[in-house]
Amino acid sequence: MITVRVRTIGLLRSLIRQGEFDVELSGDASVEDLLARLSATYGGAVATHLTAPVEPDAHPPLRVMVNGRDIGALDDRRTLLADGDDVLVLTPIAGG
Amino acid sequence: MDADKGGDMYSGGYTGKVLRVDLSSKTFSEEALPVEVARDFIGGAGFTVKYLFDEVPADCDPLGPDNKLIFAPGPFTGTKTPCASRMAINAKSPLTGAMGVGLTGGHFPVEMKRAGYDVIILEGVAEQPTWLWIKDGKVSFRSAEELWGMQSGDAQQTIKDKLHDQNVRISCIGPAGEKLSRLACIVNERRVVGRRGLGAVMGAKNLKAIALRGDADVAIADQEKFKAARKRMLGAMKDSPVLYSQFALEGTSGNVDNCTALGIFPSNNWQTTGDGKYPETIGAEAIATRGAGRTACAECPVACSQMRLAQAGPYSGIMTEGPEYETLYSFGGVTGVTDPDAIIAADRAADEYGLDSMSAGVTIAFAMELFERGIITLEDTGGIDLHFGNHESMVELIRMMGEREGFGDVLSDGVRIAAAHIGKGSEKYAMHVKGLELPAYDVRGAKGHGLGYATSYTGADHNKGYSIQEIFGLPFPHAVDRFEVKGKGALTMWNQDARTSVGDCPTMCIFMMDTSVAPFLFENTAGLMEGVTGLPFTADDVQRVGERVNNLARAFNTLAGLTRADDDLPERLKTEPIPQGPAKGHMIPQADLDLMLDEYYVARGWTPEGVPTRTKLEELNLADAADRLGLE
Repeated sequence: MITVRVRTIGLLRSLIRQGEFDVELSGDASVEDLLARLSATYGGAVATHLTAPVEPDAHPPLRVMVNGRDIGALDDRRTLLADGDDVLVLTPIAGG
Repeated sequence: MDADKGGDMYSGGYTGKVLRVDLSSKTFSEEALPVEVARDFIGGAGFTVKYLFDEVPADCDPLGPDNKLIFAPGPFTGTKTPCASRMAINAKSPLTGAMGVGLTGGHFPVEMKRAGYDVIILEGVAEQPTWLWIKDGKVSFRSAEELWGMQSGDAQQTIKDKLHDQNVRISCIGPAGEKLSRLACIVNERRVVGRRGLGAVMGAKNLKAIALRGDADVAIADQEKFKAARKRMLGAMKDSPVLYSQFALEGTSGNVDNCTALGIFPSNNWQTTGDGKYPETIGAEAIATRGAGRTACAECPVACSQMRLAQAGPYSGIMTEGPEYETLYSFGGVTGVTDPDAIIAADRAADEYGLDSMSAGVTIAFAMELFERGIITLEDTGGIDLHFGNHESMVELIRMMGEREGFGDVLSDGVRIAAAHIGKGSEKYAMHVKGLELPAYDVRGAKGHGLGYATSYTGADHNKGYSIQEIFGLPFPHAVDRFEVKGKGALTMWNQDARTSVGDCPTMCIFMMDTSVAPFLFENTAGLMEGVTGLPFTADDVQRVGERVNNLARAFNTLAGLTRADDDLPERLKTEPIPQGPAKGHMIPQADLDLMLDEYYVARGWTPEGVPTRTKLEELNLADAADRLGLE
C-alpha cells in the first residue's frame, strides 16, 4: 500500500470541501486509479468532473500534477504513483 | 475603402484610414492603410510595431519630441467578433528603452474604429497642456489647463461634462504621466495600458487626453465565412470547462490559488514564494467577499472584470475594477500585504494617479526589502515605515509616487533607476528585466516562462509569451515539464508568436486563448480574418505574422542598443533557489539561462548574440529592417 497526499483548489476544492487529504492506494496504483477512487468516494459532480472525457482537440477539463509536474509530461493517467507523492488536482484556470 | 478585388484588397475589418496628429503644429491628416501592412501585420500590436519601426529613430529620447505614440485596435474590433474590443499602444518606452507595446480593453477600441480609424499616430509636442476631441473626421485641439493635475477619473468626467456626452470614450493620463513618471500608464475608463511608462510619453507631449466618438459600422467582407468562424469560436467558449463556469465568475483572482499551489506566487520581493496564507486572505474566495458586480469590455459576452468594494477600516467604501491577479501580487504577495481592502484601495489609487499597479507594487516591495535590510532607513523614507505588510505605507507611497513627492520621487521611475539612485548594492534586490518590473510568476518554477521574461521585446512581460503549458497545464502544442530547461527555446518562440498573432494583432482578448480556443488558435484567427477582411489567410500565415512582429520589434531593440546581455534575469532568480513549497530548490542558474537562450536564438534563426539575420528578415518580408541593421 502507498499513501499519496492529494491537494485540490478552485472548483474541485469547493466540491470536495477539503483542500488537502491523504489517500491510500495499492502499491501499483496510477493516476487513473487515484481519480477512480476519488470519483467513487465523492460521486456526483466530483465524479462527473474527474471522469469527463479528454478530447485531444478540446480545452482540457482537468489538470493533474504529480510532485509539481504535469502528468502530460510524464505518462498521462498511466503515471505510476509512489508512497509520499504530492498530487495536485485542479481545473486549468487561466488569466493574469 | 476600396471594393473587394478578389483578395487583393481588404473589404472589411479595416476602416482603411490612419490618422496622423501633429501636436506641435496643431494639424492633422488622414492617409490610407496599405493592404501590404494589413496582410503582413494584421493590426493592433503589429501595426504599432510597423509604424514605430518605420518612423521613430531607435536612438531617440523616449520623452523627447521624436518619439511617437501610436494607437491601434485590430480588424476584429467593432465587428461583433467576441472579445475583440482591444487595442495596442506603442512608443519607445522610457522605462526600458525598447518597444513599449501594451494592450488594453474597455470601450475605447471599438469607439476608435467607429470613429473611422485603424491607427492614430501622435507626433510632436503640444506647446500647452492639450486634449484632443476626435469626431466626424475632425480633430479639435482643446486646452487642458483646467484638467492638468486631475486624477484620471475626474479628468474623464470633466471631459464628458464639457462635451455633454456621458458615452464619449477617453484615454488619458493622471498626475504620474504629467510628472513623467516612467511607471505612468494610460487610462481608458477604468482600464489601463499599464506597463513601460507610456503615460510619461503622453505627458511629455503635453497631452492629457484623447476623447472620441463615432457611429460608423465596421464592414464584414464575407458574412458567411464570418458567421461560420464566429459560430465555431462561440461554441468553443460555450464548451469550455472553465470560461463561464469559473473564469467569468472570479476573473483572474483564481490564479492566486493556482500559482500558490504550484509554489510560484512571489511574496516579500521574491524572497519567498507559494506561501499558503495568500489564498486564505486574498485568493479567489477571499476577494470575492468584496464582490460588487461584474463588468465587460465592449462586445464581450464573458464579463470577467470584477467590481470590488472595500468593506472595512480606513478603506471602507472605496471601489475599484479589479484587482486583477497581477495586482493581487503587486499590492499583495510581493509587498507582503494580506488585507484585501488595502489592495482594493491601492489598485484604485494607482488607476487615479495613473501608475502601473504592477511596477508600482514591485518598486515598493524593493524599497521594503532595502528597509528591512537596513540599506535605507526612516531618514531616507521621510519617516515612512516600510516593513513588509505595512499597507498604510504602501497606499501612501502610491500617492507620493504619483505626485513625485518626497521618497515617492525616488521610486517613481521604477526599481532600476531607484537602485542606481540609492546605490549601496541595492541593485541586487531590484527585480526587473530590461528595466521592467517582474510580473506575478516565480519563473524559477516555470523555466520557459522565465525565458519569456528574458527575451520578450518589451522586458519582463508575462503577456508577450505566456507559457500556457507551464502555468495552466494546457498541452498545446504539447505538454511540458515546467522544471525542465531543454526544449524551452522553441517553446518560447511558439508562445511569443502565438500570443502576438492571435491576441495582440487581430486584436482579441488573450483569455480566449487560455480558456477556449487554444486547441485551434491559429485556425480560429485565420477563419475570422478571412471572414472579416476578405484577405486570404491560413493558420500558417497567422503564425507567421507573430514571427514577423517579434522579429521587427527585435530589430528595433537592436538598433536601440539592446544585446544578448539584456536578455537576462535578476540575480536572485539565478543564484537563490526557491526556499520552500512545491517548487522548492529550483532556480535558473546562468548556465541554464544560457542554454535556453542558445536554443531560442537558434529557433528564431538569429545569431548567437541574438541579432536577427538578413536571411530570416528577408524570409519574413522585412528586408528593410536588414538594411537598417546594416546586415550583409
